[in-house]
This record gives sequence, structure tokens and C-alpha cells, in this order.
Amino acid sequence: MTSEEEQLEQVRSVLLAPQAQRITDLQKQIEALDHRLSDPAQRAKDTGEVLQSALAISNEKEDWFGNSLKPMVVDKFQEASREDPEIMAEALFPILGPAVRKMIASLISRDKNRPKSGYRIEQLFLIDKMAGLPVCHVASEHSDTQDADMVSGMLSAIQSFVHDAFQTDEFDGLNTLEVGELSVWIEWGPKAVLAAVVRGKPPKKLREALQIKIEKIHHDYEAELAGYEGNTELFDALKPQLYLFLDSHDGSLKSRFKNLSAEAKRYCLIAVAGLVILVVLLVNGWIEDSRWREFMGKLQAEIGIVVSNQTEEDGVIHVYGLRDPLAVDPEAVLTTSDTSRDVVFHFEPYNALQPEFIQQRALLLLKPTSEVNVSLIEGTLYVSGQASRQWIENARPMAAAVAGVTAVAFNVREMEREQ
Amino acid sequence: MIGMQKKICMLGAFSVGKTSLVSQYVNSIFSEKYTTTIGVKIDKKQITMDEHVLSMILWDVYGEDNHQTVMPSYLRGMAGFILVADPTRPSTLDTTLSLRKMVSETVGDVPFVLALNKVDIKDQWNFEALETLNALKTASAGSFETSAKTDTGVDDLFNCLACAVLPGLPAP
Ligand SMILES: Nc1nc2c(ncn2[C@@H]2O[C@H](COP(=O)(O)OP(=O)(O)OP(=O)(O)O)[C@@H](O)[C@H]2O)c(=O)[nH]1
Ligand SMILES: [Mg+2]
Repeated sequence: MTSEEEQLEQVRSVLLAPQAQRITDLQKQIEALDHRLSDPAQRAKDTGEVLQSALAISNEKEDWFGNSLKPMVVDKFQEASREDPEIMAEALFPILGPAVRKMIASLISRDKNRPKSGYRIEQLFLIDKMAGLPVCHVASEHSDTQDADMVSGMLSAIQSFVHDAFQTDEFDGLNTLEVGELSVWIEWGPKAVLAAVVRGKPPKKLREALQIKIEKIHHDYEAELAGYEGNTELFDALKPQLYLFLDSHDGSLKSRFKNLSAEAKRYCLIAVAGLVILVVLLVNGWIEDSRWREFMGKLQAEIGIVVSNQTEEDGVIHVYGLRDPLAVDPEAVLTTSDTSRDVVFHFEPYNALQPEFIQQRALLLLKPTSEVNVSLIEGTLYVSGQASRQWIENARPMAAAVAGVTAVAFNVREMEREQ
Repeated sequence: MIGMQKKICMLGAFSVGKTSLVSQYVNSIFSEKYTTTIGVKIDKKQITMDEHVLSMILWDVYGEDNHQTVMPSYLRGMAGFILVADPTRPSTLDTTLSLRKMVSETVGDVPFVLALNKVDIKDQWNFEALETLNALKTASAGSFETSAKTDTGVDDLFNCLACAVLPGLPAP
């Protein structure tokens, strides 16, 4: 390479380096995405998460999910469960088991140390400002810092921090302290401070919640705080409240469900129940559908019955069509079938052109005696034998009028009267 | 059982053995190495006395000869204190006297115990102002010759103060 080429190459590499990097990055992203999509376990997990957020959003908003599920759940449940429960259970179990497990797992999955998202308050200290004594202390059940040494170390750090911060003349609400991967959020009151040891990234609203809490504590324990002499039982009644605060500010995935309001929880459960029932209904509907199809097949196979249309109204199925008066009664077909649907038949009478029907019709009309033979062969009605004159006179014109008969071969001898 | 907790301060000139006394009392550890305390170090020791379970929150404050400037804020809310002197350095006794005075001016009259530390090297002790010593002894809830190194008199020192800070318990 000449030095000019080298220079050019250098310039090129400098100019194009960001693009090249970007391309490699994108390539990596695509590979990661590809991998994500082709991994069924990952997809199930993703879906679970999406479903969960959907529920969460639904709970925050007007609860379309709960509201739309509720009537359906209530209305359809009885109907659904009336059906063969065994078949249903068998059909449902393999589908539902993993689905529900997955959903529940995503709701309660916990990572002990690192909340996957959000944050968790591991410790809460109420510290009196005068002596820096820990007036009340609670620790999260999931906290690693239950360990006494850790707690006292933490407390010591907070106490001296509180002391030092309180000391500075131009105290400007200094209120966070980093201790390793934990942070301490401190909210100041006139007599005491509330210190929350937090893992993860807490939202700003925690600050407000701490503020409200310390104000309430000051209101409720005014006298106790004012004359605090170190009696540790004095604030025992506060502990449950602090635990509650601890739990209600657990932003990790596992506890998000736990922290939903009672109503939200109820809807969440309704949603799960809804999911279950939806599947039940689907399977049940599928079973019922196949029974119905079987019945309709049978009905349409009946000669003399032509189904032209069917509609559903308020859960009742209306079947329209034509029925030869000689055909079987559709109600009878219905009672022998497995379908449990409510059906109303609307059949118009008609004359079926099947040979059996034409022949039967002929027999009904002609009312032949035992000595008369009536048969239908390819549209032609053969009437033969012997009969009374009166019968013959009656039958001859009628034979041609039998619906479906194209020609008549009338060959009946007149019987001599044996009188 | 009545649960109580009290703030106790360790006061004295630098390097007299305040931190060493606390580590001996709380963790039964002694180190020859001298690491001066920066700011404050807080420890906790729980003891049972009669019907009381007392948590002593021990504030081990850095020692400095001119305490007037920073010290008072650390003393806020304390129930009692331990005055530590190192008789191998006579000046530390003067420091305890001025500390005692500073406390009564800022916090008021709170009980204290006197520790004449490093009794394991008593041969190097060197008192110049016996009057000062006697005055302090009289004002104290008790005075003890201690050694953080050999664990001499340490429990007695802290227990004595514990009695003094608990209500209705006369010092033994
Ligand atoms: N021989 C002996 N040495 C001691 C005793 N107590 C403390 N020391 C030593 O004295 C030195 C200072 O001890 P510290 O406990 O750090 O003193 P301090 O009063 O906390 O000092 P500051 O924090 O600087 O105010 C250390 O080297 C200790 O090992 C004791 O009872 N006997
Ligand atoms: Mg020290």
C-alpha cells in the first residue's frame, strides 16, 4: 500500500467505525431476538409477563378485563359445568395445568436478592432524633439483612449519618445514603426520622409515602416521642404498621400481586378463573358443537326432510326447512341424539320425490285392497290386479295425480260381484 | 421484663483506649494496632439486669483534645457516659476533667463512670494531679482500673454505668 492508500484506509476506518459497530450491535440484537422467539420456554415466559401487565393495566383502568369476564363467568359457568365434567377435566388438564402454573409462577416468581424490576424495602428504622436510638425496627421477611450484625452495622451507619446530616447548619433535606448495593432513604420529622433500607430502584412516590408515614407517626405517637426514655415496648404497636408499609412498598414482581388492592386481587383471580372457564367453554362448546353436527347430519339423512336454514336466538336454535308428512318426526330424532340444545323446528310440508315416498303416497291415496298391486318403477306407477268397479273408477284418475308420478300403467280387472 | 435502650458515649482524649474498651466489651476482641476513630462508631450490647433488658447503644466518639467545637452534638440524648483516661499520659486526665465540664454545660447532669485504662502497664502510670482524680472519682457513679488488653474490669465498668442509667436502680 502506498502511504496515500494507507491514509485513506485510516480515514475510512475512522469514519466508518461507528457504523460498523452499530451493524455488529444490530446483528447481536437480531440474534438475541431470534433466540428469544425460537425458545418456547422464553415465549411462554414473555406471554405470561404480558398477560400479567394486561391484568395490571386492566386493574388500574376501568377494569375492562374483569368487567367483561364477570358476566360471562357467572352466566356460562353453570351451563358449562352441567356438561360431562369428566370429559372436560380430561381435555382441560393438559392445556390448563401448564398455562395456569406458568401464570401463577410469573405472578409469584421471586428473586430473593435482586428484585427483577422495581424495588424492595428491606428494613425500616424509626430513629429518634435526640439520641439516635432505634425506636422501632422491622425487617422484610425476604431480607438478607435479617442478620443481626448486618442490621446493627446498617443502623450504625444510619445513626451517624442522621447525626451528621442533622448537624450541618445548612441542612438541605439531605436524605439518601448508599450502603453497598443498598440505599437508605431518610425522611425527617421533628422528633424522629424514618429510614428505609431499599434494594433496587425505588420510584419517587416512595419519598412521598415515607413523608406521609413519618407525619402520621408523629401525630399518633406525639407524647411517646416527646418524652422518649428508651422504653422499647412503647412503640410495639407501631410494628404491624411498619410491616404493612414494608409489604405495600415491595415493588418486586413476586409481591406485585401481593400488593394489589383487595379488589384488584379479586379481579386478578376472576381473570384466572375466567381463563379457566374460557378454556372450559371452548372445549365444552367444541364437544357440544360436534354433538349438534351429529344430530343435524342424522336429521338431514332422513328422507323427506330438507333443512334449509338454522338460526340461534337467545340460546334457542331454530331449524327451518321442508318436511314430507310421511317423514319421521324431527323431535323423535332429537330425543335420541346427545345434544342438549333447545331446538324449535319450523318445517313446511312438501312432497318428497323419493320413490319410497311416491309409492307410499300412492298407497295412501289409492287405498288398494289386497288383490291390487301398486309399484313404482322409474317414475311409472304400475297398478294391477283386480278390484271392484267402484274402486277402479275412483283410483284410475287419482293414480295420475299422485305427486311424483310421471306415468301410470293402470291394469286392474273389474271383479265380478259374487252375489 | 422491661426493654430499655440507652445511649452511652465513650469520652476521653485520643488513644486512651475508648474503641478498645468497646471492642473488648462487645466482641471480646483486642488489637494492639491503633486506628483512630473518625467521627463516631456505634455499637450495641444487650445485658439483663434484674427485670430489665437493657440495650446499650455505645457511641464511640473520636478523641480530640479540643472537644469544644465538634463534640457536643454527639452527646445529645445520651443517658450516661464513660470517661476514659490513660494514666500513662497524665494530660489525658486533664482532658477528662474538661470533658466532664463540657458535658454538664451542654447536656446537664448525667451519670458517668471513670475508667483508668491500660492497667496492664500500671508500672508506666504517672499521676501528677491527684486532686483532679479524686474530684472525678467522687462525682462518678464508679471508677475502675481497666485493661482492654487483658480484659480487666471492663464488664464491671459497663455494668456499673448500666445500673446508673436505669431508673430506680442504685449503683451497687
Ligand atoms: N496496653 C494496653 N494498650 C491499650 C489498652 N487499650 C487500648 N490500648 C492501645 O491503645 C491504642 C489506642 O487505642 P484505641 O482504643 O484506638 O483508642 P481511642 O481512645 O479509641 O482513640 P481515638 O479513637 O483516636 O480517640 C491502641 O494501640 C490500643 O491497642 C490497654 O488496656 N492496655
Ligand atoms: Mg477510637
